[in-house]
Amino acid sequence: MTRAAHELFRERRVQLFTGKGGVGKSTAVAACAIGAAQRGLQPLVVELGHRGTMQTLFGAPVTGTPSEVWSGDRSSGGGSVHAMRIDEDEALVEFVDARTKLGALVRRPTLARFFHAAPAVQEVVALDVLTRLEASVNPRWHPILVDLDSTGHALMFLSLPEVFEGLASRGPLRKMLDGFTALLRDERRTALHLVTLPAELPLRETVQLHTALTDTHRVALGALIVDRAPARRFDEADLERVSELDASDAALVRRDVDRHERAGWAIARLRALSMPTVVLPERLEQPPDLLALAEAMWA
Amino acid sequence: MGVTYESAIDEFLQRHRLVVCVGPGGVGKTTTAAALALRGAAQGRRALVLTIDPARRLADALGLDGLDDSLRQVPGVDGGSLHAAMLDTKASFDALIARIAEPDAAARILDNRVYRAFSRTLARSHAYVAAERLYDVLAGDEFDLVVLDTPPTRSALEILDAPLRLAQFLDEDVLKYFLRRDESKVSLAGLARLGGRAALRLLGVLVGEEVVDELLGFFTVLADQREGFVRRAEATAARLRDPATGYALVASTSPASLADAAHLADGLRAREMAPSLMVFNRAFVAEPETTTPVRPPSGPRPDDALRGRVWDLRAALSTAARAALSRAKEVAGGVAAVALADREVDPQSLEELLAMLRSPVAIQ
Repeated sequence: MTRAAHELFRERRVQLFTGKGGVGKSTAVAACAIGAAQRGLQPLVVELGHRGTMQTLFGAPVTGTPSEVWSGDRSSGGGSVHAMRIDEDEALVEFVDARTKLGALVRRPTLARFFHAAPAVQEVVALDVLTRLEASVNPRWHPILVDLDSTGHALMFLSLPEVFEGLASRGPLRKMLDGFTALLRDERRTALHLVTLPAELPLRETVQLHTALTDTHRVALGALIVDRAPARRFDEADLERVSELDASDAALVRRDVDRHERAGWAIARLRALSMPTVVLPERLEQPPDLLALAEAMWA
Repeated sequence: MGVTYESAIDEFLQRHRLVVCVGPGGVGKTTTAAALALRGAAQGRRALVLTIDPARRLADALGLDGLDDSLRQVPGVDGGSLHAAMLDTKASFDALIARIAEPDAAARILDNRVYRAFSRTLARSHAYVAAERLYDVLAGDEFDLVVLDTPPTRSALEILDAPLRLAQFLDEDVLKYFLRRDESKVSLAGLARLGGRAALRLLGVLVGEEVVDELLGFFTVLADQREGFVRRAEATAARLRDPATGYALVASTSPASLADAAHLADGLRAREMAPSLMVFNRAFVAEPETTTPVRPPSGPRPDDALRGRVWDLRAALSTAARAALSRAKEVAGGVAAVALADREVDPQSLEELLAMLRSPVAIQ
């Protein structure tokens, strides 16, 4: 039986958000976290790399360790959202130190340069941080909401175990990758949410991604979040009277109706993917009203 | 509002031989890169656009049956000429190895498991390849305008850092750290001397002994080819800081996109690659048949249901446009900047692609 999106948001420990750039992924993550905090959960938002997006959305500094970026007032039940970003260099030192007590070695200029340049290092250490966050008991973050960079980035993450297949067959790296693979496929612990827009290109990319994920990666899929669905502003009666308007107003109305229709078509196509779906309204107000979006996501 | 500003784009194009388009994802960066190259071509330049994804619709708009690793000439361009190619990570990395390494060494590298794993999927490999491809294209004199599209934000800086990183990766000290070559044989003796034994043990513990063997093999072959790699990497790095190289920052006007753009602009300035043109794409909804924002409603809100709703729509869209342009201005600082209307549908022909940059709105 298909579950409602809000049940997934509540139950799954690790929630990864992906989608084409510019589709409102970070906003969806932030809104989801606020909704979780309002419901008494202890959400942690994890941002990869130095992007500054969460810092902008919450208006509070985001650093390499979890810090509070949002808190609800008492009247609405309180609750708080923490956020952090994964700092690659620090994570690498921790990664090495945890296994070999040789963290200091990685700080040495020659080796630091090497690790800085080596291709898979940043992905592996990011994975390590996620694994440790998941294992953390005090505080026990739930849910852990990960803002993945883009679809390509997500696929790269998901294929990391395969990249190392036959390469690292033993040792802590293998163990971690196996653990990650198991986590990704575990429908009780994990959900990969897809964020998209009701427009042709994002729609096509989402359908392709969905196919790739179900065919080859067997990852535990979560909800489909369709952001910025345009409101229906004009009805049939309005359209019949359009010729009464002057030319530029009439063109404006027709374009708005077309736009709404195209979006409706895209949403119907997306619903055919049979994932629990949340449709968020288009917003002209900037910055986004995160509280209203949190309500819409958790409805 | 309402002032148009095409000359900023033309001045920018005329000043540069290499144009690097950077920006957050989902803002139409690839399309903008193609439109810039096409505009250059229309003004008589021999232009090339290097994209980073197969962008089927862009290929269609250019009248090509697809984009791949090979350079293809776009038919029907008046003035100069336009070529397009896509950077294909795997194909290009293999080609790069084949170009640089001696045949024997190339075969050993291509066969190496570490190489095979890294060359395919990971972001940095992509960055190295883009930088290398750029070196090739700029080394010849076939093109006098090259427009490089880059992946979204994070990876854009990676691409720009890639040449120097590649040089660092192959830094003599680093290589020496891992191996001391004894004729063609890898010797572990040198490692102990340089503290490398610890490094090797570290790697062994982390990834397993066989990876270390494989990695040493990889380094051994690379060490022989080091000079070629480093020379090219340094030449590309220098080119990226050449005055003839210009950075165009492309963003939309959503707060997230602008935050990314501001961050990216800082990163570029720190690398002495300050953007000298900013293009804010999909910045506002245009008044039908124009390139300028929807006009605000005039007079009080009418009582008539339909006219009242039109009034509301105009009020909402014009307010959003004004806010978007003012946010964009803040991010632009003093840099020449233009804003383009949200087109809903991407350009589907050369004509539409050219029209995209026509009569943009000035931000300054």
